[in-house]
Amino acid sequence: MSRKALRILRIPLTIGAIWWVLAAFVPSAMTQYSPYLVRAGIRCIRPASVVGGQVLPANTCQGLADLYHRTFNDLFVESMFRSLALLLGAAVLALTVGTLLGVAVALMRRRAFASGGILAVTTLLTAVPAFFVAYFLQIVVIIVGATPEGGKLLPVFGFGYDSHLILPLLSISLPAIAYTAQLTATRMIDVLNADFITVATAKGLRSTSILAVHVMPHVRPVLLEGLGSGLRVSVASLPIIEYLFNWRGIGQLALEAVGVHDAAGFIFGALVLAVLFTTLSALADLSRPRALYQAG
Amino acid sequence: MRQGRFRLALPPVDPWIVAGLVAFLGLLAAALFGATLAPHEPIYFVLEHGKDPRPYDPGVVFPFGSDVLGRDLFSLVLAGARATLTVVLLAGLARVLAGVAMAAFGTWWRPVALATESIADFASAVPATLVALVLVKVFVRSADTSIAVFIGALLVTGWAGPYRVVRAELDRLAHAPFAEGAAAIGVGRWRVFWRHQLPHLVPTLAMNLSQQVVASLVLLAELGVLGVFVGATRQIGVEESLGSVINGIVNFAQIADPPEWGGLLASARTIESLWTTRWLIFVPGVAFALTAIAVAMVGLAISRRYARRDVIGDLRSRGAAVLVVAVAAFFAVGAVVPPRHAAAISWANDSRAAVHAPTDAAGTFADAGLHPLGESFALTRSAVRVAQTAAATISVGGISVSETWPRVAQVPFAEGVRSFVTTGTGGGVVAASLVFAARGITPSDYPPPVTTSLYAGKIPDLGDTIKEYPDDYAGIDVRGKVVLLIRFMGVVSKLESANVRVAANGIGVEESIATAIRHGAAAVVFVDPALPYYTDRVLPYTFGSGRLVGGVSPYFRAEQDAPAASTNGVPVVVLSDKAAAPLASAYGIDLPALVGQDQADAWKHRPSVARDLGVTARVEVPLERKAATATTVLGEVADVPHAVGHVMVWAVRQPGDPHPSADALAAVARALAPRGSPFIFVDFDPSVDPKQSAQSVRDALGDRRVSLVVVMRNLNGDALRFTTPFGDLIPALDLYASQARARALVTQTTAPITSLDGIAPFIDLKTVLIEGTGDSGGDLRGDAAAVVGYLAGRLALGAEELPR
Repeated sequence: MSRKALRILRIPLTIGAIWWVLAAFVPSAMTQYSPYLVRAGIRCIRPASVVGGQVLPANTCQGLADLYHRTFNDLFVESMFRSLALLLGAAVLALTVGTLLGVAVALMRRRAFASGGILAVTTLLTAVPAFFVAYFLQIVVIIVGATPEGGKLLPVFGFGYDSHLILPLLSISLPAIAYTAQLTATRMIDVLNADFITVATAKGLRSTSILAVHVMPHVRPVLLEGLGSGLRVSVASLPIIEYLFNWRGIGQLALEAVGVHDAAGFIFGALVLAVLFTTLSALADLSRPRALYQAG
Repeated sequence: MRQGRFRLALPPVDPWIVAGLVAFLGLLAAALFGATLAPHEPIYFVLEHGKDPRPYDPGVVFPFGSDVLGRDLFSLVLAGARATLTVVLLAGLARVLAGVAMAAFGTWWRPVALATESIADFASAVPATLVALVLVKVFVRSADTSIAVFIGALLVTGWAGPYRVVRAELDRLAHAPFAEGAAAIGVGRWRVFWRHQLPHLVPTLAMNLSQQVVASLVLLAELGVLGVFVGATRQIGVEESLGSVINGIVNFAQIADPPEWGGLLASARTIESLWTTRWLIFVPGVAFALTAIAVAMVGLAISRRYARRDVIGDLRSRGAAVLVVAVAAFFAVGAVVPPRHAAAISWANDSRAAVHAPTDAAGTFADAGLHPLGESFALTRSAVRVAQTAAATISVGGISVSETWPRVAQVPFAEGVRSFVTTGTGGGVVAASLVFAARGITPSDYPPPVTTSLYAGKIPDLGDTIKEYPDDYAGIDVRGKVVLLIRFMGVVSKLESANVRVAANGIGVEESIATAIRHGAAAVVFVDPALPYYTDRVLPYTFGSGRLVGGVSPYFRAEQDAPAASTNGVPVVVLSDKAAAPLASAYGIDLPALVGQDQADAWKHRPSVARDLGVTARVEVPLERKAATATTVLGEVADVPHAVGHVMVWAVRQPGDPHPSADALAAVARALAPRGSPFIFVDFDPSVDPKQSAQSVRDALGDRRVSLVVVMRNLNGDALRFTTPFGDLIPALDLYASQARARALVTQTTAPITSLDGIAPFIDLKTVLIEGTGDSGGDLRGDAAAVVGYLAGRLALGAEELPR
């Protein structure tokens, strides 16, 4: 079996193992602590009641469907789309902004200040956790947008496929943009310094055709690697970002499921995130380019 | 040639290494001395500051602002450094060590390589925040387990990263010429690893360690935002401590002890705080960022240092020795720096050592040099009261049921039979015909509500639910008879979801019994299936304490509120369903069908099962009037001006107490009297009309100002427990217990003001109850005395958190 096939086969095996472990342990684990609500202020209005012979305190929700007054399927399908919308937006931003930044760094490689500046910023963005970025963006938007009349620049929390999307999308896509830019820049600088580019330049080829014909084919696999690595970080920070922006995606629901003892909701949310993570990991692994002059 | 002037020639130093060293020592100093250097202790609350609302803006009370409870945020960050840094450093180290171990395992023993690779795939794919949250929720049992559980959760969710890095490095090094050469000349695998591969791994491990520490820090912060943090978690409310409660101002918060930084973020996590109180996020956020930078600098410094240098050789160098000495010096200084108000510990020890038994309070007060508040230490009150003299009994045919006497109703699950003696009932002997009144429901007594409430449709109304029930009193005549009555628990009216039922509550026990008496009953036998779940002890919280108990007995509460004034009246005996079972089965009463909550419509249009049982029953509740005298002993430390805020230590006398709280009171009095502390000591006798006796003490106080009342009672068990509705006292008391080395439970929450009903002598004074908890019956007098002694010491040393 080829290396590629083995790598792809590991995805369902890993997901199967995660599903098995979570299904075996999470329902009983959730009986070990009292239910609570992760987000203050949301509650189920009902008096104390009796469940399975046990008295439950008032205002305790029995699962996420109960909390949101929606069926489980409706709730989770909708939430999954909300999360995927964020990740898709992050992928688009990474592929466009990240690639452009990477190309710019490579082309400006002889101007140390400009290229070094972009690289420094992208390095910082890979190091700063997404949830600090989220807090920072929220505060910046509030401060900048504040007017005596109480105006606001952008919504800083809540769901909507409109301006609500901007801040969570930025928070979640910055690592992906930074990874893609860095990898693109590194690879492109390697290629631009290669002998065949020097030869092509010496032969008098136009720089646009050198880029299009000789450089980009070598850089293209790196884009996918950067995208895979960067989005992996985005997926890992999805629950907390959704929570901070009250986006109510799959990550936030999984966090709330811990509080209301919704084992099925937790397992479903965790599995969706695990599928995304392993798929992106495989994408990054399989896209990793070989050495520039290695045969085959 | 002429020599130039001597110059000290230092070897060239890499500035990154200097920066890393400074960062390392800075982190160490923050962890070791943070709490000591903090301007204020985490137990200090500024509850009110003019008209400024809490949390205070930076510069209003504290330079960096306060948290929602009014504590200095900068001090909290410093005090929380040790817990935070310990967790993240150990978690980062554990992640890297686990990664190295797994990588070495997979590299050396090829057959398991696939297994380790698969496990790493698994570990890296599970969402870290979610799994860490569940693990912490499941495994944290107490504040003591907390750090280990957090480290474990951070390890489980993060070892795969270091594993992958180290595994790749080991694979590369395994094929390096020097490693192959060493193997060829027969060097062992372990020696190759230790002597040849490890030095090459050091830069990678150093960078990876710093990354893992930062990753742990981030995960810790995320968990904090989600309200999960290291150490004891307390729900603190400070309304009772405020002069006036301003609507809309937060008076309640979940706080962590120690104030770990994730916990500080937890209190800043509301969306509103982004607009109004950004410093709540900013101050701990800066601490997180500085730590991340410092850790990264340490990692970078080590990585640069050992990029081309042998770590093993360097470990034997003079520089390494100097570093070890410097670190040891930090720890040594950390160990000898005393905690704040350390001298108060000797006050605690003196109080603990002064516990002797038995205590003659008046004699002890006199010997200790206390002054009486009046003419003598004793304050005597006489009164006549009605008291039960023997067990209540019921005899019907050949069946006889008696209560356990003396009563043991302090413990839940112990009680199956009890009398119920209040102003509205009574005692004596009644022998009369026995009538079964079923649940004593008369639907017309509970008309359905005319107006709709906010919860209309959500919480069913009792009147609505039972409007088609039969009238149990309609077909029977209970006048002059003994009435057998079953408690009506309510109706399950609808299913909210698959397994959640919504119930209309039934009729209160007092009301049920009063209705039977109103209909003319001469005696009442009341069957209450909840009886064994009640206790006669006032507990602040009962639900969720591990055992499902029903809280304070409603019978006990009614007896306290309206004590009997006469030995006659209507004797009432309460039975549990288990105790009533023989009686019910002998007379064909289907007890299981009548006990517990009804299903909706179960009794709709059905006849009542009430009937005359045609048998004579004898009910006896023997009461007698007793003239009683209560002597409360009180004294004060001499020469304390009346205007000074006094601490009143109030020991409640309980007959038959194996470890009387008066002994602890006397011990504190002996220790504090010579020190001139502003204390008043009361050995309180609650046997006769406690409310009036307490008022007599109040009268005796005159114009003395009392700032705090410490009530001690029932000092038996495994550990002390503190109960107070004054939230600002809670972290302080826990700290006092810890410093005084007293066995005490962590106080998890502010108690409701009602929890001190019947306990606090003066409801308008700041009060804390110290009592024992646990079934071991251990002696906690020394522990209680030590806590109060420590409190006195801190008060004398000017501790800022104590009311004056």
